[in-house]
Order: sequence, then C-alpha cells, then structure tokens
Amino acid sequence: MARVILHADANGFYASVELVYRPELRGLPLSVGGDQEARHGIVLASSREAKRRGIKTGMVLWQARQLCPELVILPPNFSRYIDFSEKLRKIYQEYSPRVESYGLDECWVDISNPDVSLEDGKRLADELRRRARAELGITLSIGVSWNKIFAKLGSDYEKPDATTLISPENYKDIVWPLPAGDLLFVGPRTKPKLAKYRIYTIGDIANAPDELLSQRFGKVGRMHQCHARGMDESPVMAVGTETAIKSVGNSTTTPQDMSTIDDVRCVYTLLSESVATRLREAGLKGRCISISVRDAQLNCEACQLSIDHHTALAGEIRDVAMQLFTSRGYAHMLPLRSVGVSCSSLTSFYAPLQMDLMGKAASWEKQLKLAKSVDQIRRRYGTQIIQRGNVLANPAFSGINPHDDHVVHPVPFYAG
Amino acid sequence: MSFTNTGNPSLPPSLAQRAYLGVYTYTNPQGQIIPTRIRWEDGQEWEIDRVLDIRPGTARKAGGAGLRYLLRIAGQEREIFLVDGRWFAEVSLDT
Ligand SMILES: [Mg+2]
Repeated sequence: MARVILHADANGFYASVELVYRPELRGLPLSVGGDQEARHGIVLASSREAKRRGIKTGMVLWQARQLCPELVILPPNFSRYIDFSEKLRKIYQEYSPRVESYGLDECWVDISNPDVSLEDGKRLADELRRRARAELGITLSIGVSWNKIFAKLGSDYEKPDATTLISPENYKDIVWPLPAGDLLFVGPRTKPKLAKYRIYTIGDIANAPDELLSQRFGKVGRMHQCHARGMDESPVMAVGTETAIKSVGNSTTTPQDMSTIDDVRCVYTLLSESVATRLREAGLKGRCISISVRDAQLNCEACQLSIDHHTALAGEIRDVAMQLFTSRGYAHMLPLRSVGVSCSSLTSFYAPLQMDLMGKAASWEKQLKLAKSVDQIRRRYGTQIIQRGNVLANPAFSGINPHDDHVVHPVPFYAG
Repeated sequence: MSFTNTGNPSLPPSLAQRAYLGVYTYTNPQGQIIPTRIRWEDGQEWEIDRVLDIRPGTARKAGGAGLRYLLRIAGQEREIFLVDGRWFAEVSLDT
C-alpha cells in the first residue's frame, strides 16, 4: 500500500503566536528573543517582515536591532507556545493517531489507508491549513508525499500557508533540481564532498552511479541515494503528545551495532550535542534526562533521572546519560542497535539560575558561554568542525551527524 | 497581558480592548460550556437569549485564541470569547 504522509510546519511559530495576542503588530518587523536585559539574548523566531529585513534566527539581539532599528522584540512566552503546539497536535490527531512531533512547530502525520490517495492528502492539508488559520490564527506550510523525507521537503518548498504535493509523477521536477544540502541527512560537511564528484542537486545524488556513492560514502551514501529516489521507509511514530512537546530528544540507529561502552559513549556524545543545540535554539533548558536503548533483538529499555538544575549543556546531558546507562546495567544488553537521549522538564533558557553555591552557578554560566560560542562556530562552519575528544577517537561513529542530519526518529521514550 | 518592551520603537495602539465579563454558565452533557447570563463591567446583567455558535477561534482585534461564542442578547448578535480561562468581549477603541 502506498503511504500518504503529511509534514506540517508552522511558519515563524513563536512570532506568529505572539501576533495572535498582539494583532496590532501585524505587518511590522517582529522578533521573539531573549530578555533585553540578558546580554546574550538571541533571536528565536521572526515575522515575515523581519525575515525580509535580513533578521535570522540565532542572531544576537543588538545586531538584529542594528540591522533593523524599527524591529519590535518581544520576550518568549514558552507556556503559550507549548499550548499552541498541543492544540495543533489535537487537530492533527482528529485525522490520524500517527502523529510524530519534531520540536514544537513541526509534525509528520501519517494518514495512510487503502482508500486514501495523495490527492486526498492534499485536500486534508488544505483543510488543516484552514483550521489552523481559523481556530488558532497561525499559518502552516504542509508537504504531502509518500515518504517522510519528501513530505518534509514539501513543507519547506513554499511558505507561508501553502500545500506542496510531491507525487511519484512530479518528484523529479520538484525535488531533483533542489540543492543536495536540502535533503535530510546531507549535512554541511557532506555537501563539499559531494561537490567533488560534481554532485550538486538532489537529482545528481539520485542519478549518480550506485557504486560511486556506496564506495565513497559507505552505507550513508547508499542511504542518501535511496532518499533522493523517494525510497524512504521510515515510519511515522505515534509519539505521545506529552513526551514530544515537553522534551527535546534524539535517537539514532548506527550503521554498525554498538558493541562496547566506548561506542555507546561516542553516540551519546553526538546525540547530547544535538539535543543541547536544539534546546538552545529553542531557548530552552531541561532538568530531566531520559535515555532509551534497543538491542539487536529489538528489546527496548528506557529510564530517566532528574538533576538539581536545568541544563542545556551537552557535556552534562551526556554524563547523566552515561551514568544512567551504567547504573541500570544496560551494558549487559550490548551489542546495541540504537540509543536515544532526551531532555524534559523544560523551562525558559532565560529563567534565573537557581544556585545553591555562587561558585557553581558562575562556572555553569561560563560553560554556557563556551557552549554558545561553539554553537556559533558550528553555525558558520558546520557541526563537525568541533568535536569532543572521544568522538574523534572513533571514526566509525563520528560520521553520524545528529544535529545537521536532523534525525528523523525522535524520542520513542517510555516513562519510568 | 503585560510585557516588557524596553528599547522597542513606539508601537501602534491596540485595535481593541478586552472588556472582561462575568459569565453564568451551564455545562451540557457533552462537556460544552454554555453561557446563560453575562455580567457587564458596570454590573449590569443580561440574559442570553440564544447561543448561536460555538467554535475555536481568535479575537482578531483584542487578540487571543480560544473559543468564540456567537450569542443573541436582547435581540442583538454579539461575539464573546473564552481565552485562557477568562471571558471577554472586544470593545473598539475608536468609538
Ligand atoms: Mg517552523
């Protein structure tokens, strides 16, 4: 049975939600960003007018204001964004139980059914857009396709408030001319390597000789090629609303099974980096760390631990993940096929630090500064430019790039 | 809703204000909250003749997303909103 999958992406989500409550600001360049008081406040989301003036997510607020003096900057209001996110999910869930969130503003919805065609998917997408506008006052871009990769491409294709249908008939016209880097999993480090073989577009990837990609890029090259040809079988997971919205997580299946604790540490390091970056990009930090593991027989285990403060630091998240891993005796499950880590009990990144010792809080803030400058370097040069020692030590796993690759299978975590 | 706006350029005035209401309600067996009588800010109370429509919606002038109720009160149609647990009507500022 051919699948019908929607990927819905709320346009400029935080900024759009603010405009619902401040309709008089419509039409003005507007950004949502950290407190003006917080020196390192960054732009988290922007209205279309602000984007047109060159305002970008992640930009420091004073820079944004320099670029656009009339920019209106509102502080983030996360409980409201979470509320809207849940309301959106509830709408999607009226049509299918298979709804997988990616962050607060993106969802895959699988409406596959023997009687449902891609055209029906497009009609539903239009209906979802109409409802989001009428009921919540926000706009969605929706991609409709037979796999998750193309559905996601479709939601990026036309913005705002548009439906893009990518079918077996038109995908060569729509998808193949796009730059190779637009394909999920093709990170900024892979792009120049592909360019060496004169592979610039997604179509180039699809049409390259099979041996070239497999030989030069291994299993991952084979995967890119399958994706470019629309051969992506990954399922839309029914991720629980609570979990998906209230946590930021990543999991990954490694090309080779993880057979030692060092392998596991290596993958948790990559995943924690990605979770930490996504937390900071969303302006969040969390207090509860959960891990999941799955062995080659597909046995699953999961557990969680709350620490005494909120964090958005990769090192801390990784250390707690490893502490959970060893204390729960998961080493006995080796070799493992996939592991995941997520961070929940979220609060605003700008919430005041709770400190029991002045010294501890200060050093934490110092670490945070470091983490942020690392983020900035990464944004400029790609995620893999800075790697922690133990990842470099294991080239077999360092090929995984969870952040840029935008891992498509977030958090099937089970409470307790 | 109050928010800090330090350093922002001068902002346009609100399009409308929220006039918060006291509302007597009845919850029907389907779980819908049905307003039966409203109490205006000045203490005047009005019987609701009829609830014409209830649906999720936004207050386009005063701002907010929640439930939009279309009512008939004293022979006139009137919109009121239930947003974040409070009832209000939109009151234009230019009148
Ligand atoms: Mg979005």
